[in-house]
Amino acid sequence: MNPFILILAILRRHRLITLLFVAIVALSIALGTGILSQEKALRQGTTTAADKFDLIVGAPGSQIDLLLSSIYLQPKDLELMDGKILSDLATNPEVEFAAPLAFGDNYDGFPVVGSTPEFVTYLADGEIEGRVFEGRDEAIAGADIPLNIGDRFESAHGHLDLSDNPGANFDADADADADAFLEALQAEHESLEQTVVGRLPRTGTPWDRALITPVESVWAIHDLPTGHDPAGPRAEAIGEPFDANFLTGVPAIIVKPQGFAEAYNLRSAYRNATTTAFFPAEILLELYAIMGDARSIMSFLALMTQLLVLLGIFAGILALMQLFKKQFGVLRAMGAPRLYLFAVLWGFLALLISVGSIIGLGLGWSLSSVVSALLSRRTGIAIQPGLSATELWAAGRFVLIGYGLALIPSGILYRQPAIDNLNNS
Amino acid sequence: MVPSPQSKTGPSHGSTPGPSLKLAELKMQFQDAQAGSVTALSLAKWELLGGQAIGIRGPSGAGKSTLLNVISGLLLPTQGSVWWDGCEITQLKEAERDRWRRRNIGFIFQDFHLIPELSALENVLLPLRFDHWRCPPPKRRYGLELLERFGIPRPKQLAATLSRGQQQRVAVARALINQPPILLADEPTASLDRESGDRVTQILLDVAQKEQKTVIVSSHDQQLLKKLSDTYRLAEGQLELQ
Ligand SMILES: Nc1ncnc2c1ncn2[C@@H]1O[C@H](COP(=O)(O)OP(=O)(O)O)[C@@H](O)[C@H]1O
Ligand SMILES: [Mg+2]
Repeated sequence: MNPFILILAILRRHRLITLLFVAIVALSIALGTGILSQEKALRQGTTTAADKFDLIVGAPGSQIDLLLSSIYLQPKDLELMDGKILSDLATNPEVEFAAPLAFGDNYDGFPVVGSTPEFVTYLADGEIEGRVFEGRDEAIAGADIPLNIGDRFESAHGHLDLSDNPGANFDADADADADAFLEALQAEHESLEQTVVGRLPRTGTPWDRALITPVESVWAIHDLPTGHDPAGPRAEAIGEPFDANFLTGVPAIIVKPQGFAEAYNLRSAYRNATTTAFFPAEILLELYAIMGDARSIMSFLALMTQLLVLLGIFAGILALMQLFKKQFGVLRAMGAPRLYLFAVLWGFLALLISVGSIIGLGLGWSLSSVVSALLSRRTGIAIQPGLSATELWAAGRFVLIGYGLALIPSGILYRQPAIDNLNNS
Repeated sequence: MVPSPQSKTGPSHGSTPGPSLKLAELKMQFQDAQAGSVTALSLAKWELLGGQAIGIRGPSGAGKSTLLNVISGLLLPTQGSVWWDGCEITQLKEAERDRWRRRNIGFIFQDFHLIPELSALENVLLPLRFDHWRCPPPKRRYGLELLERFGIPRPKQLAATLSRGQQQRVAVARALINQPPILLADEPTASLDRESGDRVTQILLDVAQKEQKTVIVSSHDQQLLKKLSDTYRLAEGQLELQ
């Protein structure tokens, strides 16, 4: 038995309908696949980006804001903690290092974050190109910063909405009011030219688009105490140890604990009235739960769409069967067994569903790649969608349901008496 | 399993004549929404010797198509039986009847009913697809031979692009591909012009004579009917020899 010759004939005759059916199957599968693959990619990307951040300490308030500002460099208005907390943490024996983060400046839209040499060394993982900064007029560039080692730049105050278009210059025409405001700010803000002395390896995190300068230079530009006694020998020093008497408020401190147990101790020690401390993973899990819920709802809707698509196709097929009827009657007259006709119709439907699903998987993956690329551009988080067992299974389930439902019209055809098909010629 | 009247492989070059037909107490009624029960056929007894080529004529609606459908086993009569040689096909299960029909009957329709998207050759070989994944090469050669004999110069030509006369000749080749001992044709020339009709008539007669098939042709076509050995007239459900 070889039904393919007739399946081919049906495909040729109903080219448009076939294309249409394949297209709607593909779109509905693409939607489901895209949602699943996108959510997973987003989860993986954000988790990877948070890998290096063990414990974050900040002022009590929104942990999500702290997380977004310090790991993902999304500007949020953070409360400041007393600077003493930094020196406390830095000298705590359970701490390997504690690095303050100072936000608020930018270069050409790229955030300029103040921190310590230890933090840079830690982020670089020994793969820094050039060297770590040694003076206040030096800076380290992330992998995507369009500056070379040796280039000089001047940072501006304010967080631009870097999500829109980092790298785009302040456009004088864009928003005159905002410009005037920023200029006013900049007037108060002593500018300091800094030189890029090192470049971080690519991390796939928003830090690839940041410049890191000594925190002291950020404080100095804003006329704040720099953490060192201006009259002492370390007046111009950078990094630890800080002098508690000359510390200003800090929005966030990244803490590298000595070990696992210490991490938990520190987290509970700094969860109190004046500070909050958390593992990024905890907050991410909460976010993922919300994302997962959204994903479930969207997946459910996608599944419903897929079922509707199948129903639509089979309604279409039942109508088409009126067209097939006479042809099938002729085949019976030629001695075709009922099973043959069944195989032709079922094979035709199964082919539509299979081809549509395979295209849909590809389309879904492309869709999620495009969305991921856009998100990566906006956030700097490396988001790489893939096709995993989850998406394949979701598509496979659709295919199986489709094969099952295809039995209905094929079965109706199978049960039809030969002559009913042939009459009124 | 019912023995088939003739081996399905070897060509029937005049050796054994086609099977004989016997209808007994045959009645075919249709349910009609307005008219209620319509009797399309009512035949107490009708016998036909094997290897004959006969015609059936009668006005439209007389039941010619119905008769062909019943004797091919496509349509089960309301009552009565259809015997082909020793085989009572009205007693066969549907799947068995399909198989019996595939081996024993070649059907030719007024409207050819080729599959327009397939080539002439593919149409001819189509009945083989019911049994075979790949077409056996001898059958393929036989199909090509039939096409050549029937004046189809390009076997790969799409059926849709053939002339009507050519299409019907392809349909005849398709009916013959399994070398069936019985050939049924339902008004085979009614949709053709005179010349094409005559050509199809000639082919049918050739086959009937050379291969001693049992051939039953329903037709209005006098040119066709007068060349057949007998013509029956079907009227009011009854057959009478003319
Ligand atoms: N499936 C059917 N249902 C109802 N009536 C039918 C059916 N098939 C045929 N008939 C009726 O049976 C009669 C014979 O039809 P048919 O065999 O097609 O005649 P012919 O082929 O001689 O023109 C007609 O009256 C037709 O209306
Ligand atoms: Mg008729």
